[in-house]
Amino acid sequence: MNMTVEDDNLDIKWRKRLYRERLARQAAEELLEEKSRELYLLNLDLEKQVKQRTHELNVALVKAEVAVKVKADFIANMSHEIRTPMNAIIGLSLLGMNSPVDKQYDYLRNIAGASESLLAILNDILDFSKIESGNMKIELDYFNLDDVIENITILFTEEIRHKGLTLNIVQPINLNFLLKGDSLRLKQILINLINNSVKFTQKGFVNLDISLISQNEKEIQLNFAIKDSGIGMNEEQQKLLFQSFSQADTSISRRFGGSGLGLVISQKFVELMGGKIICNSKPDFGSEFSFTLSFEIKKLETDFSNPIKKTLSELIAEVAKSLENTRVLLVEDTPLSQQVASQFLRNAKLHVTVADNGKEALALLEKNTFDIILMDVQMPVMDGFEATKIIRKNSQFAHLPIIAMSAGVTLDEQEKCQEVGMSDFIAKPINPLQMLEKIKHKLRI
Amino acid sequence: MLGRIFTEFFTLVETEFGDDMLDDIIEDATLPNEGAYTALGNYDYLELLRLVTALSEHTHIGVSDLVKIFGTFLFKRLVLIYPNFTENKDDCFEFLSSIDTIIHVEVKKLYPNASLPKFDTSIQEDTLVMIYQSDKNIPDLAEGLIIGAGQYFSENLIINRRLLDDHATEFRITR
Repeated sequence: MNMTVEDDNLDIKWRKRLYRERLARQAAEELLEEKSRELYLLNLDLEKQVKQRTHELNVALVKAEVAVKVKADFIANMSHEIRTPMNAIIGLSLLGMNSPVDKQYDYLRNIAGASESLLAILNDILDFSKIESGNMKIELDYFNLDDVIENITILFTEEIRHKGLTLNIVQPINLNFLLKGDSLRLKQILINLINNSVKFTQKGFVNLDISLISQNEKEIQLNFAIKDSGIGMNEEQQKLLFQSFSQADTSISRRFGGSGLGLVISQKFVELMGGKIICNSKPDFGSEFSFTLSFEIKKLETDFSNPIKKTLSELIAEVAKSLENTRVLLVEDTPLSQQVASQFLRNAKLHVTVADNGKEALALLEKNTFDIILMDVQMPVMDGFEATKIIRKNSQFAHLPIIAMSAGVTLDEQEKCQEVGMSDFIAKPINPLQMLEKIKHKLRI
Repeated sequence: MLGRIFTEFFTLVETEFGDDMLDDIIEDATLPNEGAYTALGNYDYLELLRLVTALSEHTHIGVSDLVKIFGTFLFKRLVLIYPNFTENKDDCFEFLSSIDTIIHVEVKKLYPNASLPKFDTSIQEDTLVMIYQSDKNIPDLAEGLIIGAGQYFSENLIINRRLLDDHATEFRITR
């Protein structure tokens, strides 16, 4: 073969092009392989993530479904619990209206009892919602443990006697100092636990043992144990005890009543105070609930060993004495609430003028002089917030005490009352002693 | 710079000036990889400028004009390769306004290492003001692409450009 120079050049050119294309192909293949590897790894990771997310979603779904069912059960349960005392209140009222006057006292006493149970259930629900939203706070004040125990004893005496049980309260002797803590909540916990024991014990005993664990100059550690000879619980039931909305068995609430929140609330209170309720129980052998708390202590300055106990009506009379002839403007739209509040006040010899709403109250304020205003919050025409704002704008009334009276007992509502310039807050249903004490406090008598 | 730009440039040279011209400019540009570019790779943009300069010397067409021609050509090719970027776009301004916010976001997903220019746009009546910013600073390429977009959407565009600094150029595009 005879190659010309031109052929030679052409050959070199083609070779170069071929070489270039090969290089490019190799580079492309390497890049492709690298990308495939990346994709493969990404894919693996993605599959893992999808699996994990699916699992998480399933868990969340099951949880949500359980929560929905539990809440639905809870509402059904609450409705039942509220209806039971309601039934008593309505039924007994009808019976009372058709009875001679001398028979009415018994009906009224039972109506008051049923109303107290109703209030207890509502308070439980409220406490529970505060706990759920993280708004529950513990108050710290010095108190006498004897008072708490005495209170509890009085509360259970009748029921214990009625059921033929014995209630033994054992406490450490010589507790001659005050404890620092939330006595109301401690009482609530003990009442709750004793109440449960009484409920589930048909014969035998309920004991409250308070024992001294340790003590020094500043602090004391006490163990509280509530034991009973009741029906007891198996391990499965015990596991469910402290869960929201659950009683050991929903059929139990049908038989024994209760909001099913008592233990959850008590446990939370004990936790807020730095302890934990422990349950020990065996079917047919009874149950024991116990917890240990520490309290700061303070020496008793006065001798409380033999205090004179006063009845509620004596206490009311005592406060009322200093409030005689106080001029009260009661702003309230519901006739029934008007009747309840004004009668409590008139019984204590205060002068009461009633306004149906905020606007009427403003008109009355212009022509009359009052020492204090009790103001409902939600009213037609002009509500309590609006009325208070207008009253506070007038410098003449800058220091006139205005106490809110409301059935809305959430923190939000109480905060709003404060914001618009109200001086204090009374929750409905009204406790007459508390109402008079607040009036007295605000008038600085 | 994305390899795709290099391979498209080669296609332009082959179709407009012939295979031999491509061989010649590769030879003249003295490239590190002997001109073996792949669309998936990433290469120094100065290599492209060397190729364009070599082409300019062979053809006696100015570098600036060549880059503009390439830009216009590149736009047509990109529309073929990535049709979804022009889909649902009614006119040139809508398309140009979407480069930074939509197209480059997608390009980044495909090529995480790509360093892309910025196109800030604002529309005032029938004028679109676009600030082109790039550390490579090839406003001719940007202008060519804008011309390509105008042709694609069949719009007669008047393009005014003003150099702002070493890295930024302002285009005022009127239709």
